[in-house]
Amino acid sequence: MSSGSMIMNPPSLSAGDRSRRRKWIYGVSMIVLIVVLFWLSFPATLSTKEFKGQPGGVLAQYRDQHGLSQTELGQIDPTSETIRLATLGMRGIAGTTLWWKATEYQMKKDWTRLRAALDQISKLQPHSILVWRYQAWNLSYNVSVSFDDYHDKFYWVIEGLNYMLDGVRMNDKEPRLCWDMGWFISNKIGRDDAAKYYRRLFSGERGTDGKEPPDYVKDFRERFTPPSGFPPGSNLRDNWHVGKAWFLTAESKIAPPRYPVRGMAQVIFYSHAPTCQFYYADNLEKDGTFGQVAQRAWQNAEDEWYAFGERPIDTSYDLALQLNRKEELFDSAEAKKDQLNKLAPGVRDELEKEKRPNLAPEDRASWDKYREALDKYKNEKKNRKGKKSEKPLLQPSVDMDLKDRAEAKPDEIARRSPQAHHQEALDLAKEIENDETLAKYTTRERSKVNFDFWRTRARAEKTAECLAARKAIHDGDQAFAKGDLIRARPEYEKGMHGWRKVLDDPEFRSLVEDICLGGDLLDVIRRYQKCLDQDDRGLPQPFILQDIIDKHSRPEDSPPDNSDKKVKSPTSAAEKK
Amino acid sequence: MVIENLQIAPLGEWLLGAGWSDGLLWQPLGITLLLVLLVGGGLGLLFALRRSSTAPGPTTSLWIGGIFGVLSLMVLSAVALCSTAETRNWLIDSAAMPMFAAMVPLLGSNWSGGALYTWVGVATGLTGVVYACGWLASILVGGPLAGTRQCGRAMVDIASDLARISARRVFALAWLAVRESLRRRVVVVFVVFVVLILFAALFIKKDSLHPGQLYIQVVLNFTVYLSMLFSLVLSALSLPADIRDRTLHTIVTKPVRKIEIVLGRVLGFIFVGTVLLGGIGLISYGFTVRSLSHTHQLTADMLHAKSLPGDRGTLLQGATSRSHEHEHEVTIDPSGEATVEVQKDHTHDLYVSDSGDKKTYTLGQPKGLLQARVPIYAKTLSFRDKTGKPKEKGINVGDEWTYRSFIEGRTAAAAIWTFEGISEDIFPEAKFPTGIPVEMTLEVFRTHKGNQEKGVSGTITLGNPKTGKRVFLRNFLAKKFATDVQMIPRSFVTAGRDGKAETIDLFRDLVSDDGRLEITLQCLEPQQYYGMAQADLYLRAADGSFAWNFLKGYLGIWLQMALVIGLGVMFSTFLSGPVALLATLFAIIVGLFSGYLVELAGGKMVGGGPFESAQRIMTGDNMVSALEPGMKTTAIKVMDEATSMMMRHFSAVVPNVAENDFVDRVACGFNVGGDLIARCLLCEMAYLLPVILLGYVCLKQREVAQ
Repeated sequence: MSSGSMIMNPPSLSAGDRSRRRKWIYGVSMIVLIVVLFWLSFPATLSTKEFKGQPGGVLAQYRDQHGLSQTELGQIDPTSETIRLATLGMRGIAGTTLWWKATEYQMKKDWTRLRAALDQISKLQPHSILVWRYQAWNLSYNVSVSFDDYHDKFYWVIEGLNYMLDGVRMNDKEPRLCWDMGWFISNKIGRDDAAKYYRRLFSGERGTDGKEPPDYVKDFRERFTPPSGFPPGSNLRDNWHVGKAWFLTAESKIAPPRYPVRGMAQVIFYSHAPTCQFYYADNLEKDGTFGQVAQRAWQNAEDEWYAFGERPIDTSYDLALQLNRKEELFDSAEAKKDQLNKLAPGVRDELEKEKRPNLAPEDRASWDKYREALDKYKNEKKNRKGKKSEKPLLQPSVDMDLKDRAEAKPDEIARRSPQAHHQEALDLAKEIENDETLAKYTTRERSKVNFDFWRTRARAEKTAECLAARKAIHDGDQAFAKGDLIRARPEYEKGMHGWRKVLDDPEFRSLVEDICLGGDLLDVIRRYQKCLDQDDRGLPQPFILQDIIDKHSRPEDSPPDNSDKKVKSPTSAAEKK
Repeated sequence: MVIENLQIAPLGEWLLGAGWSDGLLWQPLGITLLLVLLVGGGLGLLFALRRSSTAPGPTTSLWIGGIFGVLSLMVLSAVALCSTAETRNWLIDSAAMPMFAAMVPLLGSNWSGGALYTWVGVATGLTGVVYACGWLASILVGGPLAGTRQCGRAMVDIASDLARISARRVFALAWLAVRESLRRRVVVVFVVFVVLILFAALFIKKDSLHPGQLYIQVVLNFTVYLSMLFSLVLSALSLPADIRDRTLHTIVTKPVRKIEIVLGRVLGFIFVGTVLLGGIGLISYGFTVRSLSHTHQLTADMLHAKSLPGDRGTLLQGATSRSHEHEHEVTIDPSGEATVEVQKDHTHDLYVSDSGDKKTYTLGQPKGLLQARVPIYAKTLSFRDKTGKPKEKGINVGDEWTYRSFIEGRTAAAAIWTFEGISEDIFPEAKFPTGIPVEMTLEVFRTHKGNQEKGVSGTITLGNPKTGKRVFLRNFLAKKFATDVQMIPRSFVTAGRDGKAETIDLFRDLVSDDGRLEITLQCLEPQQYYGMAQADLYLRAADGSFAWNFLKGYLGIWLQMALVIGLGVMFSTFLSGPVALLATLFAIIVGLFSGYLVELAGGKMVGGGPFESAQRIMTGDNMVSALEPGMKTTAIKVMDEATSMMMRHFSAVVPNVAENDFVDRVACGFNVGGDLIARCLLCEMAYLLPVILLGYVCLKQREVAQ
């Protein structure tokens, strides 16, 4: 007989006593276990006005501490909980099998079963963010393009969004899902090949044939409001504004350390909401809305971009930077350099003279040009001091490598400074170096989001010349679409002249480099060329937007029927180049 | 909506090989002779066995045991020779091929592909292996003579037991199993199903594009899981519980045979399962029909008038009320003909009644949601490439799943379906007055955006394969992943080669005298592609009853359940309850993935067998790069070959559970054909027979049952 059995049933006791003794042992054991279980897993209670909540047992406190309790993660779905319990601890196996099946259904293009399998997966893994993100993307981006009719395609884009919305409901503290919602609504709907149709369907308005929008669009529009709501003045018919609201919701949900910005640089994360406003304004004009409405949209875009530039952004340099500070840092560094020159008179020129022989002749010319522009900038700045000016002053720039080789470094100047101001010069040199480093980091962060381009674009687009140019091109396009090439041609010419004026402005000259704008203008030039083809004429020489052609046309864009044109076309210009 | 392998070979072809009708044995005289031999010989043997009351003498036992032993050794050698490719080829060339050739006049050409012969081969092999193992064990224990004698006696005993099966006793034992099942409250399964159905609405997506498909799949899959679970628990735990509780002792002391115990259990449990499935089937049918049944409201205010140009009258357009997450666009033309838009796989009949000035519109129940289409599939699908040359397959546009082939638009590329057995009897004018309906589901692959507001256009041409006459029918716009119905008129006018109008009679001009008809599809748009498979285009010959088809879906579940019961009872004859349960579960799971297992055993998997895959995983090698030659690689290859050999033999005996699954066909609205049902029933019987015999042999060996 084992020792355990001896304790329970000692042979010295009678059968009745043994039974009583056994019951006592069972009873005491149960009480001990209940106490231990209670200590471990007593659930937490929430505080109300009348009652103070209890932190619960060890496990409840641990869950609370790490934000792992169901209520912490999001809503609890009874169906999901039932299914999870029904798998009897084999949730992982069931999830893997379903995932495998879903892949097979997708391969075999069995969309109904794929959708059903994805629902089941999400019920089993409701708090697995990657499941929601991946499969919503899969539906909106992969499954949708498997269809031919754009109505069907859009149905699956919306299915992906619906799936993601379920994910948001189940994980309402997770910023990544809201960010994805913003991305899908803005990017997928607004920039797809079929964006023209998607945007119209998304708007929930009647189609050109007078048909009601599909039911799935109506249903989606009933539930697409983000948890933080829409900002005032939002156009809920427009995907870019709805997307922006979701990006803003994602921003509002950032709460480190549990919910930090993950998977992308902060500067990119925060740039999407204001970028949506740019696309919104751009699409307003593409849809034929001009005048004050468009101007206000571009003004809002500029304001929001400015606000974005003011936001302190954590970077990989372990510094929080503000993108708008770059110009100030440049000015501050230059002012300190002037101060340093005063402390060490003539040293800078002496040092630069020493470096000059090592420079190639074209580098010398570039450096001289930069110095000249810098002096001009400083003078202009001095003159403007205290005066109110609408136009911002453009800061001169030069290749960083050339600057490294040609410029007298502040610490070099400081080292050669007179003994009387030596320490002061060294401190100043350190400050200059600090400002320049911050300016360099800020420039890098700005380049990640094309900060300068968008800012310039917003400023250019809101001008009367640009709005008029856009309107003329839109009118030209309307006439072109109707086949009225005679009316289209002068409108295009008017539009291109308008753009020339805008691009000739030194403030906006950098827009020539932009691929999107360049591509748009190149399309206009092509349509204009088609108008000229009617009279068997080539583009007038010199062509007004030749710089755009030179910059953006590619050999593969060549239309085959233009190869025998006598005059220079966008394509031939590029080929020549 | 994709179902692969919809095409089922005729029963005779599947059972006896493609050319069975040429075999002398399958001519009336041959069949008569065979039946006489089988019935006569079988009955003779049966009577002989039933009348022999005493056990066979030692000499007889020795002879029987020896003959079976030699035969089993031959089987064992053949199995061993089949294990490696070289020896297998040698065996095929030297023994199998001459034998196949010799049997051709008797059994017909390609007889070896017949399922019956495969079954006989596998059953013989399995019996041989089992006997050989038993024989060798007996020899080891009792010496060669005694062992052989013992085996011979056992064979006679088995045959005698089989011959003496009493239907009355089997029925009594089956009834006992039924009562035991009731005692175990098997009716709880029914309650669980009712509860699941009550809450099913929570799981089913309301706004699915194919609600009928989804509802049927959910309901039938619930039933599959539940019936599997119930039959698994009931069959695997019953006999071990009886042995543990010593209930079985009271049975074995009665004059019953072990085979009757096994058979009684299997039949009893199948009966219980049948009754349960019947109840569940009735409820689920009611639930499906009731859940999908709906109508919409349409009033005169919901329709707006639109004048047609040229004073052609007024068109009424509008949308119905919303019900079941959708609404239908309605168009009523000036002649009063109404069109209700197809939404979610169905439409409704619209009835218009005049009550004074006001018209009342009533929509009927959904049409097309629950159906059982009877398709006639083409015998072959062939392709022409872009230069017009015949090809076996079209282009692969990069799909991982190569089920469909693609043809390029605005080229000579074409897909040609050839139908056989087409006649006016199949499509009588009374039933098909306007023509023959052709249903097709095409895939479209665009290499450029093209016109996004319009589908990719194609053309249908009909042809007579015998006369070579080809007639253009019409152009159409492809609807991707949606069933498109095109009618082939019984007679139509087309432009002849000389440009004159020519009247074509479908059955006279286009169907050849041997009943063949060609349907050719071409894509008309440059650089766009159509994708198709053989089952993607079919002639819709009739519509079966959905209720009847639903019942066939349940028949498939019943077959799966019977299989599980058979396996469960068999395992429970020699394993303890939980182990038998796990063994049955394992067999079912392996059965569900039998296709994968066959692929694995055939060495067709990319990345090699289990050992090679493990090596690749550990070293991070990709699946296609060659392994470095050396001893390690050789060892891995040898181990994989050995595993593959074991799996090959194993895969031949695992139950093909998925074969009896008709859920997809029923859900997608295709009639489950008689040939398919007959084939599944035969397979089930062919599988259950050795399983029951094995269960009997195992029970016979158990001490408790002696």
